[in-house]
Amino acid sequence: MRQLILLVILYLAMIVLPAVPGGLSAESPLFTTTVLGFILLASLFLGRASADIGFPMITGYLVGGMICGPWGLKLFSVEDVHRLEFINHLALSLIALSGGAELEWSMLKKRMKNIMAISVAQMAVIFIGVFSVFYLLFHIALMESVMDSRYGVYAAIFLGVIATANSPSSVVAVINELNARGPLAQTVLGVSVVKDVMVIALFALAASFVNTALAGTAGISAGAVFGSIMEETFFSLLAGALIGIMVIFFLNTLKKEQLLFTLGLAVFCSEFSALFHLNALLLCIMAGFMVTNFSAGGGRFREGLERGSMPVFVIFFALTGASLHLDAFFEMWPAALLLVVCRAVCLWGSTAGAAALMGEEPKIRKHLWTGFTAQAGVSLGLAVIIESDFPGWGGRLFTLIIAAIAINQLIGPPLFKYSLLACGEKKGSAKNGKN
Amino acid sequence: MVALLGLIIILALAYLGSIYVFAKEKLPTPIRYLFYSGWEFILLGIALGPFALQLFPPAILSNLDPVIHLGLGWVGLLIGLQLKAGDIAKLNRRYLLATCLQSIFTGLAVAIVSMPFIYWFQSMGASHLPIGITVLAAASAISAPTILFLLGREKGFRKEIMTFLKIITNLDAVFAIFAVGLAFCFLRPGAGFQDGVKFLLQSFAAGGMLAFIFHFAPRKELSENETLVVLFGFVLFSSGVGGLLQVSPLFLNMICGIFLANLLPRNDPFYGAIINIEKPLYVVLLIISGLMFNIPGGLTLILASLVIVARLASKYYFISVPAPRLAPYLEFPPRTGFALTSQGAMALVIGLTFLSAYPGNDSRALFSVIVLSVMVNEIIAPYLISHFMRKAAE
Repeated sequence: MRQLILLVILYLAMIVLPAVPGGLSAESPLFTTTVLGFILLASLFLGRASADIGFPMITGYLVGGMICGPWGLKLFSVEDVHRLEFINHLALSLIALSGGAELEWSMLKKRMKNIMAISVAQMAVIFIGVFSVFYLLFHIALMESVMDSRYGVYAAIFLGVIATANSPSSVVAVINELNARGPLAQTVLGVSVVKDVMVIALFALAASFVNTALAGTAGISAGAVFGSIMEETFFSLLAGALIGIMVIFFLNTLKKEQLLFTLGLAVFCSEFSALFHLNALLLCIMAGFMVTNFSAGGGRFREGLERGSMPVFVIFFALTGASLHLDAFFEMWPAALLLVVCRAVCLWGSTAGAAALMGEEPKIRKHLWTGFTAQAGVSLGLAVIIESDFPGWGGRLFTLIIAAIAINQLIGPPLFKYSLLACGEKKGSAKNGKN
Repeated sequence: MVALLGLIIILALAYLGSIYVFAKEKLPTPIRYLFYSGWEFILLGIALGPFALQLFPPAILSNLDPVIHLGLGWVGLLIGLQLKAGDIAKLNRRYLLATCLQSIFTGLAVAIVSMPFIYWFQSMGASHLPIGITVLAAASAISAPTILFLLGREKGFRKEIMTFLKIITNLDAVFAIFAVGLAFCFLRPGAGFQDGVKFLLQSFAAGGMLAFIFHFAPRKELSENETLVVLFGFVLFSSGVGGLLQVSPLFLNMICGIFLANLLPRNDPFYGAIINIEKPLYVVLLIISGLMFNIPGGLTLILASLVIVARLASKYYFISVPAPRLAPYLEFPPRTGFALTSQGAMALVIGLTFLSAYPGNDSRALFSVIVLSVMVNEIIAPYLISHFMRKAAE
C-alpha cells in the first residue's frame, strides 16, 4: 500500500512538473531521466508484488514497462525507448555474461548430446508446424484481414522461423532469481545458446529465399548466407574465449572492485561486438563460461555480476515491456493467440519427444518445454527487420508477431519459474531477489 | 583496425596497471598517488572518445544524459547526507568560517583571471557565460582530501593543523555546490533577481519534498540489490526534476540529502547502499569527463594555465595570511597552502553539471579547462603535499 501511495505521489509530481513556470516541457530529454527513475521504482514494486503471488519478478518489470510505456500511460515515447538503447546493450551483455557463468562444463559435457538433439528437434518441428498451419490459413484466405494470400507463403515462412526463437535473457533472469542449479536449468540454458545461432542462420536463409522469390532475381546463395553466419559465430565464440582468458588473468590480480570491473567488462564486450559485427550474446556467454569453468575466481566473478546489476536488469525488462506493442495485441489477438497455441504445442511435442528419445528423466521431460516459451530480444529484432525489409505485408506480419511475443513474454517466465520449482532446482534465495 | 589496436593497447595497459596498483609499494610515490586520484580513468575516457578511438561518437554521448544525471544526483545526495545538523554543530566555527572564506577567496581569484576570456566565449554565442565563470570558480575552490590524508598517514604526520585541513577539504565542496546552485538560479539567461529568488525557493521546496517522499519509501524489507534499485530510481527521478526545473541536479540533491541526513536514522540501510556504489559512479563520471574533453586550443590552454596558477596562489596566500588570524591558536607550518593542491573528481562533477544543463562548444571549452586543471593539479599535488609535510617536520 505504501509503495502504491509513493508511486501515485511521484506520478502526480511528473504531471505537475512540466507545467511549472520557468521549467522545461515534457518534450525535454530531461523528462526521460525523471521517467526512467519512475519506471525503476514502479517496476521494482510490481516485481515484488509479482513475486508475492508466485510469479517471477521479471513479469512485474515487464508489466511496469508496459503500463508506463508508449501504449500505456505514455510516460515516454518510442523515441525515448530507442534513446535508452545503450542501457539495453549493457544489460544484454550483463545477462549473457551471467548466463555463461551459470553454464558448468562438467554438467554440460554430460548433456551435450541431449542439448543438440532437443535444439534440432525444436527447430524442425516448430518451423514445420507453424509454417504448415499458417500457410494453410493464409492460403485458403481464412485470415484475409491478417495477411494478403499472395504473400501467405512468405509470411508463413517467417512466422515459422521466428516461432523457433526464445528469450535467453528471460531464462537467465528466472534462473538468477531462483539461484537455480540442476539439469533443467542447465539444459534450457544450453539449448537457448545453441538455438540463438540456429535461429539467426535460419532467418538469414529464409530472408534470402523470400527476397529472391519476390524480386525474381538471384539473391545471395544459401551457402554464402550459411558461411557468413558460421563465420560470425566462430569469431564471436573465439573473441568470447579470448576475452574470457583475459578476464581470468585480470581476476588473478584484481581482488576488489568487482562491480566496477564487471560493468566495465559488459560495456567492453558490447562495444567490441558492435565494432566488429559479432554476436554480443554468444561472445558474452562464451566469456562468462570460460571464467566460471577455467578459473578459481569464477565465484568472485559471479558475485560481481550479481551485485549491482539489478538496476540494469530492471530497466532492461521494463524497456522490453515498453517495446511490446499493446495496440498490436488488441488489433490481432485472435491470430496471435492461435500462433501462441500452435507454437506451444509444437514446442511441447518436440521437446518432450526429443527428451524421451535421449532418455531424460520424466520430470525433466514434462517441464523442459516451458523454459523456451518466453520470447523477447531476438524475436523482436527479427520482426523489426521483416517490417523494414518488406513494406506493406511485412508491417502486418510485424504486428502479428509482436502481439504473439507480448503473450509469450508474459506467460513464459511464470511457466519456467513453476517448472524450476517443481523440479526442485531452487537453491535458496538469490541475491538479486528478495531476502 | 586502428580501433582494435587501440583497444588492445588499452587492455594491456589496464592489465599492467592492475598489477602495479595492487602492488603499490613497487611504484614511485607520485605515480602511485595518481592512481588514487583516478587520473587514469580520465585518460581512458579521452582515449575512447571522439578525439582518439571514436568508440563513443557524439551521437552516443548525447544519450548518456541519464547516466550523467544519475552520477550528479548521487554525488549531491552523498554530500548532503554528510551534513547532519548535530555533527556540523560540533565543528569549530572558526574552522567553518575559514573554509567558507577560503572557497570564496579562491573562487573570486579564479573568476577575476577568467573574466577577460568572457569576450572570447561570447563570440561563440554564449548567453550563459556568467554561470560558466561561476562554475569554473566553484570547481577551482574545491580541494580533495584523499592524497593529503593518505600521505599524512604514510608519513605519520599528526599535527593539529590536519584537523583544520580536514574540515576545509571535506566541506569546501558544499560551498562550491551552493555557489553553483545560486548561479543556476540567479544568473540564468533572462532571469531577474525576483526570478532567482523564486528558483531558489523552488529548489529548496523540491529538495525538501523529495526528501520527505524518499523518507516515506519502504526500506527495511528490501534486499541489498533492491535498495540499490530504489536509490537509483529515486536519484534519477530527483535529478530529472532538477533538470526540468532548470536548477542544478547536484544542488537539488544536496538539499534533499541535507533534509534526509536529518530525517533518517544513522543505521538506515540506504547509507550503506549509497556508499557502496560511490566509487563505481565516480569512475563512470571520470570516464565521461574524459569523453567530453575537447582537445584544447591555444586560448583554452592559456585560460587553464591561468586558472591553475590563480587557484594555487590564492590557496597558498589564504592559508599563509588570513587563515592564521582566523585560527590564531593553531601552528601553521610554512607552505601549508600546498596541502590544498589536490582538486579531485568533485571539480569535474561540478563541471559536468554545467555541461549537461548548457551543452555547446563554449561549455565544452570551459569544461575542458576544468579537466586540464584537475589533471595538472593531481600530478603536482603529491610533490607539493610531500614538500609541505617535509618542511613541517623540520
